[in-house]
Amino acid sequence: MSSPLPQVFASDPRAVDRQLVARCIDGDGTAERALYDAHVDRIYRLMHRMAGDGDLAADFTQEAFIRTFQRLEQFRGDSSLATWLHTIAVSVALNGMRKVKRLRVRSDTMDSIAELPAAGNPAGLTSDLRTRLHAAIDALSEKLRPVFVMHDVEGYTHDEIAGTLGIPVGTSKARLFDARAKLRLALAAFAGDHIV
Amino acid sequence: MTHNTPPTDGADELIVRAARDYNEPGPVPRDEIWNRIAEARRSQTDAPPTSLPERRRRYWGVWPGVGVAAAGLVAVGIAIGRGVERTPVHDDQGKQAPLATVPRDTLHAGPDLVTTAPVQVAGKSDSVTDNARGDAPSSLGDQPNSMNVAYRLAVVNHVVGSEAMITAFRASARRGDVDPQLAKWSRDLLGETRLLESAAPADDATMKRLLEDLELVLAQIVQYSNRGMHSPEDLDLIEQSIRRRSVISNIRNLSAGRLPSGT
Repeated sequence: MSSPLPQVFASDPRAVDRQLVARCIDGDGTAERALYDAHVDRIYRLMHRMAGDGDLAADFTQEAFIRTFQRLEQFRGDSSLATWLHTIAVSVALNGMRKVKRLRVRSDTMDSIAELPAAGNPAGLTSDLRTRLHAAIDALSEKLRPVFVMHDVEGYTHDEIAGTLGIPVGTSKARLFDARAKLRLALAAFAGDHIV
Repeated sequence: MTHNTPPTDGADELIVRAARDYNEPGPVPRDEIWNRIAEARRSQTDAPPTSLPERRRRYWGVWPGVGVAAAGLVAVGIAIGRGVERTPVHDDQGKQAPLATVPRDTLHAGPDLVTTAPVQVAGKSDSVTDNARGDAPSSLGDQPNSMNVAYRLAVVNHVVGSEAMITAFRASARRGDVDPQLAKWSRDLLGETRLLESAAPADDATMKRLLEDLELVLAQIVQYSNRGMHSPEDLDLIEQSIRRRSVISNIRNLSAGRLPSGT
């Protein structure tokens, strides 16, 4: 049985990370499960938001953790373990989604979404707006979508997004701005005064 | 978790509000994913290089109809191994290129490719060894050349096994059933394909492309096998993927040493 983490590390998350990683590298199964339990919820949620499918989300999560365990010796602690794991997971998801898109021929472009006829029934606005917005998010580019999903859907900070995607914080903010602008544009024809 | 760029106006607020249930996840299947991770990692570390051929042998017990094809494929594997071992290769000046010895323990290709004598691999001009020149950066660039050769041989062995599985799947799916062993085999192959793909040399686009295409087809087969109801449309999609991407012919070209590397 492995020992619990020493109290001295409790106030230093990086030290906890390093300790956990060291134990995993030593083959401590309890530490591996602890690492998994500490991060799986957030990783799975993000994978699901990006994939839109439970099976794919589970596949991506599985792949991300397998790669993480394989590469633990490369973890230098420059960033937090969570950021490092997220970087791997997002990379797995983006690569996976590229392949999935080759399968599902998705024809919903921003233009076609904007060209959809407006709903005549104001009572149906919320549901239709949501459907159209979700299609518009699907159609965002590979650069904009992760930033929008992470920030506006999952509530990550720009610092976390920047660390995960390996981009400056300013770029993360700019991409979020662009993503919101594109979504406004895609929804403008439909929502009219509500959006513009 | 804080929003550090709050919605700037009503429109942004509306977007953020409506996006909240975008691809909303359900409960996290923690244990299920953990079990899959544990199984995948066990098969990586514990499975001897012989695992694929062993699976194939077990499989042929259930699918004797395709046993002949398997024998042919194994023969191809042996032929490649021997060809790589024996064929003298000449460089641009017509001189015989020096041979590099690949340690037996670096070969992850299974017994199909491991001959009784130490395997020697031509250092230049051989399609199997093009990747081993070390003159271009790659994800394996820091490894000895023999590792690249071993990687490529492992891929050859893997894709030959995959072809056997795809052939068996097609035969079985046309009959309207998919054996559970076949479903498990396709899942294993999919995992191995992803591992090989993640280790592919960065400069070998052809190899990466083939592995990507193979992954796509295997993923379709896994999905098809997991479903209780099998529709002809789904099967047709798989057939289309195989044909459009020339997966089978590319596998055969690779195993015959005709698929260029590094392109």
